[in-house]
Amino acid sequence: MALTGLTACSTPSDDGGDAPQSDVTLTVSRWSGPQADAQQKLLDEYSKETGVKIRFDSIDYGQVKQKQTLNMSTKTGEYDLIYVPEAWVGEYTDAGYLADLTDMVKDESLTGAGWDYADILQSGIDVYSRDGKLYGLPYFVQTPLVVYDKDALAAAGLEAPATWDDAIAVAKHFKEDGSGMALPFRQGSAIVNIMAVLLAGDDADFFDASGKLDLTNPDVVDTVAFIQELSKYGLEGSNGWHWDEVNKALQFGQAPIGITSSGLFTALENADESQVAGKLGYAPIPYAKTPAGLLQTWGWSVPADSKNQEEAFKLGAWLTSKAIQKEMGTLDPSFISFRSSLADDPDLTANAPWLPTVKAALAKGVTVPLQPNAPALTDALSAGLSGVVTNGDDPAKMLQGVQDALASQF
Amino acid sequence: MTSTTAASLPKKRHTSAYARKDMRIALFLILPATVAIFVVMIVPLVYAIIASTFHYSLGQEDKAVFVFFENYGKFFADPVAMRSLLNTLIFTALSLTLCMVIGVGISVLLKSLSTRTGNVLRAIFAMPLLISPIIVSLIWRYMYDPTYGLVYWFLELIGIDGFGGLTNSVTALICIVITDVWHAVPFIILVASAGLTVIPDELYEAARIDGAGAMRTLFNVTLPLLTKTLVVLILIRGTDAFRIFDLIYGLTGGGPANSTTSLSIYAYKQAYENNQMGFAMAVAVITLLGLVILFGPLMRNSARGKDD
Repeated sequence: MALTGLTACSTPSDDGGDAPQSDVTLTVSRWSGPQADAQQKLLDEYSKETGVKIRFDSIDYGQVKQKQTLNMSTKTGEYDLIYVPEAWVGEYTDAGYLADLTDMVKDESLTGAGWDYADILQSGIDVYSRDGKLYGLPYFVQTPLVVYDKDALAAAGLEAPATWDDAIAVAKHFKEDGSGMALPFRQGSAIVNIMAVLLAGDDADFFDASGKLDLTNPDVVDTVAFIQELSKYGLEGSNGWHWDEVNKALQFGQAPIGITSSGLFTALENADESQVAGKLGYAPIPYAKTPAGLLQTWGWSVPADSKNQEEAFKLGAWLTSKAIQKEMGTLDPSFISFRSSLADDPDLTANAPWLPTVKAALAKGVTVPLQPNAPALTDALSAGLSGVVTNGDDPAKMLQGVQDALASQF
Repeated sequence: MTSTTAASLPKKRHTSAYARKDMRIALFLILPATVAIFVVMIVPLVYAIIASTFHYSLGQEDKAVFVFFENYGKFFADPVAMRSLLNTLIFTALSLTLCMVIGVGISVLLKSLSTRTGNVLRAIFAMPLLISPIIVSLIWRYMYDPTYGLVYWFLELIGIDGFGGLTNSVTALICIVITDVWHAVPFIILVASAGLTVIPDELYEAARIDGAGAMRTLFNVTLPLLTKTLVVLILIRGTDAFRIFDLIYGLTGGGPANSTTSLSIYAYKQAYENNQMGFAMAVAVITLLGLVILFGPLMRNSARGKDD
């Protein structure tokens, strides 16, 4: 266990036993979603070995932000360590809610020996940094990938699609063969996530260099035109699907290829649940110029009003250490660490064969727009893209419409 | 000369101590209900109306900015909001009409069967009512799946090809109406059947002797005597349909291309996806006003007693 250097304030217990004692109680805020139970076990372990008491406030996702914001805005000091996704980082740092961790990550007395900051993927560091300062420790990432049945592609004499042209060729082949590519093209966040990755793979963006909304840029129009073209070769009905339905189609062998989210890969590789377990290959989302991946992240931040900032950081560093990240990955294969070295760890890749592909995709990791008004853009784009793939709406006109409606807000 | 009698004098109300005590007890007894109604209905409503005049985000109420009626203006200027209003009206009209016609029709048919058969069929028909709407949406989402859905299998069986289902802007709303009707008709059957039991058999006997056919009996005997029940059903089902959320959320999420976005879905997105709580409150208030305009007169009529 990576506890070296983290138990400085712990003292032996009064009863003469070996269990360390500490008068520190840390309150940790996170949502009660995936990995909460596994994390609870690890935190119990940390308490046992350091004596630090931990109160784990694991609540419904819909209330996490509200509760964190309420506590930090009124400076209650209630929370010591908070679980923060990429979408909240800008708002929290702008409001001055988070402590600056830049110097702490360089202090081995806080991180523990061999913590290895350089091992964390730079794209993760970038998500939790503002103006050169670090405000969170990247902990966990999800990203969509192309998942394909290796046998089906080999039988068709095809290779895993890398570029846009490859993807169209493969999807067209299977469409003509009676199936097609399973695509999460229902009106919602998934289709916008995929658009963000496709844009990054085309070296394009929703915004121009000055930060203005730039949806009428020819590269953006080309990207949406590609989405429309690909949807023509989608598995019947997948224009109304989200990630879970794509996953089911892959799992039951109805789709030989599809785009789904890493959080659902475990079910695909579980022989009890999947007809294609052990037969699947993973590839980055098709690109026009360079492979790219989506950063849907969670990280650990220390609120600026915490009364135990150093102790909280020590816990955050422990949770993001290689040993603990590996333990999390072992407990739950869908847990993807930002630790570069773990992507090639044979103990993990045995159960999570997608890890090397995730690492390759996240070499150019991007997020969906994160500005305060971004949800309005995501909402408008998801509806517009839905019209493009279901009604055959003109991509250029759709983008022009969203640009006209929202340009003043960005 | 005029004479004044005791009877012609204006009555002076003398309330006995006993009656006054009765009144105090009555007021005391209705106090908890009054407080409960005030706390759970009036306070949130007033809060929503006040909140709709502010621009603020969830958890950042301290930074709220008073914008007066700007949120309401924004609603009527937004094409997506107008689309959601139109979708809601179309959905309500279609769902309510189909539910009433099918539900009352089945109830009348069941009444014509033997009591035992009628009860067995009524129990079978009531089953969808026991399923929560979000589960109904999940069941039908798979029923409407073009790859392995029962609906497509059946359509193919009868030679219909190319049905758009949930992935077509034109058919998606119709699919949701069908699902809602499947889920809501049992309620209509149960209530209408209860209403039919109080119609005296002698009236049907008289109609039969007078030579009235089935349709004439339905329109001249059954429906007129079922009016009060039907008004209540229209009120309950109509307001439910106008506030539709969970079925749409589970089936399409409002898509494709906003073709199934209802007012409730729109309000939810503004509140929890776009984080515009003030605007979402304005949408909620507009929804309430819509309900009052559409169903207020019916509500007033249904509350009238025989003496009104």
